[in-house]
Amino acid sequence: MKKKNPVVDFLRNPLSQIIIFVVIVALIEFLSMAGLISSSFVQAVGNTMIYAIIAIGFCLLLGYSGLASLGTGGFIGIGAYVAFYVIQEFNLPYIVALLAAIVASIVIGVVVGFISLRIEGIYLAILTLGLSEIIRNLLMVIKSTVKIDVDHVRLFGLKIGDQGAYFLILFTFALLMWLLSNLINSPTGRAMLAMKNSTSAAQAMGISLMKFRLLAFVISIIFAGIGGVLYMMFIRTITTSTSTLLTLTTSLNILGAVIIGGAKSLWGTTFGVFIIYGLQAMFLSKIPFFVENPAFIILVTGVLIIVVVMFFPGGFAQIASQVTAKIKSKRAQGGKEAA
Amino acid sequence: MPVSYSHVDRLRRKVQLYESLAQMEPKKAAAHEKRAAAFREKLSQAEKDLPQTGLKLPEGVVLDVKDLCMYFGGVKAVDGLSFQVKKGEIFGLIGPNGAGKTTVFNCITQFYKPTAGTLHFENKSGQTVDLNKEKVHDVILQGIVRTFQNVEVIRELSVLDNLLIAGHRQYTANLAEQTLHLPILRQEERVIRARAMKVLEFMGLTAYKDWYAMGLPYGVLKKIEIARTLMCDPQLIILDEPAAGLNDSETAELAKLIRRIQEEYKCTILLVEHDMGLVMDICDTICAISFGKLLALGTPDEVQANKDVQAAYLGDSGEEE
Repeated sequence: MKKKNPVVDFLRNPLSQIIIFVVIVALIEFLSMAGLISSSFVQAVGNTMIYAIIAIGFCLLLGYSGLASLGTGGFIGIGAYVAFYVIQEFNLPYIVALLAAIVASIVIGVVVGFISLRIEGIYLAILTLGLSEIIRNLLMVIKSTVKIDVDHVRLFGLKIGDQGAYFLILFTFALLMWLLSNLINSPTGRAMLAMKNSTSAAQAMGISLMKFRLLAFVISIIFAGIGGVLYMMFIRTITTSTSTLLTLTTSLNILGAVIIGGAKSLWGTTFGVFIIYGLQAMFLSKIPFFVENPAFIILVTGVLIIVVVMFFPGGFAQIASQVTAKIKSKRAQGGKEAA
Repeated sequence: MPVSYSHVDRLRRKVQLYESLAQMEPKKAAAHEKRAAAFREKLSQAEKDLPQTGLKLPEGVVLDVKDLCMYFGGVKAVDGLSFQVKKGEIFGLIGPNGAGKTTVFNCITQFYKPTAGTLHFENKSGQTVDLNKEKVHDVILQGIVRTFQNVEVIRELSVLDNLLIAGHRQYTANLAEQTLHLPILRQEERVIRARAMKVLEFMGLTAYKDWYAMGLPYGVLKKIEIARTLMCDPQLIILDEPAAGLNDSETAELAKLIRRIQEEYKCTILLVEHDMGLVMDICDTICAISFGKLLALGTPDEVQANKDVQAAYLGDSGEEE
């Protein structure tokens, strides 16, 4: 017997989940406008949201298709450089940059995918890692510092500043989250999970491995590319030679966020991103040791990954579902006793 | 204009979709019926436009295996094997361990590309096709579906979702329709879910529908595998050791189940099995092989009486004396 509870139904609906989340994150910007929160905090949150977009794309690749890539950093770089040339050099609007970045991501994804997706597991990770470094070095040779002037950041003819870019990130996150959760809850999502669990069963059921691996790979690259474009809209500058954005560090952070959050849960992954980057921005950057040796920050991520994988292989999403299951069974017991 | 077989299959799915919808939604039955009729017309046209394969099987034969060879380096797993499977029968493939039974199955389903030999199959459109030209993931469209010796159930999905995986090729919604969850996808999802529920009921698995496959007992997992094959309106079901790991009462139940499937779904069943009781009980024709070569082919009694088969299973009695 199921009782209909409108509040629970509302909370379970993916669309309302997204709306609630977006409203909360948007509040941060409004509070900052009112002078209650420092603008550096807002920037940290906006930055983290960009990583969240990249991470949910990676979620599809790792959690659903069972493929591991370490090339995220390089793919972000492609998006960022496309955005720089389209917006700064050619002075075209944001939409063009976005479309160009998506096209570039698809081209690279398809070409690399066709070559590399015949191999699985650790070899794909190594291959994408090498590729990412090649891309980073190429970009560095092309232009070592890319910078977009704030005047050039336009959307539908309107100039948007930091605040506009912040809301743009939020909007993009909400849209992509919705599309991706739809895709996961459709035959495609199931086909990917089937492929991850048993390649032979998937093939016998008529699922083409190449097609769905390529699809997951390309989608994750598109998300990384969009992340790169948004980064150029929001932070507006990357010094490729010194920034860690396009390096293995970012790839590992995203991988870590997905594992810590729960590779099969988009919200878990989002949470994981906030843990990893929030920890860095809020906590670790205040400790002098980590400020002097930024390389050690990745160590903390590594320890977190080990702890989570050892005790909660399903990540935070697993912890959350276990807790709710406990509460439910307690309630059911309580209900029986009361009756 | 020549059309591809996958196009024909897509049209067939559309017809099925709207026919099912017409049954499920009596209020809109007329509209659905109209669409179904339109697609039915397109389907019959497309079936005529299918390019001729120029192949023809003898009347009543659904699968023709001829001179099949599968070599792995120097190992001749299957060596010049020929047999024919008749429409609607239960065909058993037996042989000692390592005789090459599973390899034959893997060749038919194109998991292995045979070294030599032909595999001709009469598909759902009544056309005879050369299976060797099919990709492994397209064999299912022709109407061949298989189970695995070591159960290959998707453990991260619920039992119902496992069946939906088997129905994967029945969805016609494209990627955009799936990402936007457009009405066509929701309609298909509803129809295919209803079909899956029917199969679950037939298999007696309804109680397990929301359980994750991970952690379910072995007997249930085996049933899920068979249930999956029923999702695809198969012409030919290939069962790889369905009774392995089952106890006596479960095996007896399985025998009944296989018979029921044959009657209810009007399909041909090809099975590999070590349980001789089961094989002799349910099979119409048996093919015994050893070291990749044919030993005997005939009814259960004929095969049982065959000297070579006895020798292969029990050892050559002549050598002992």
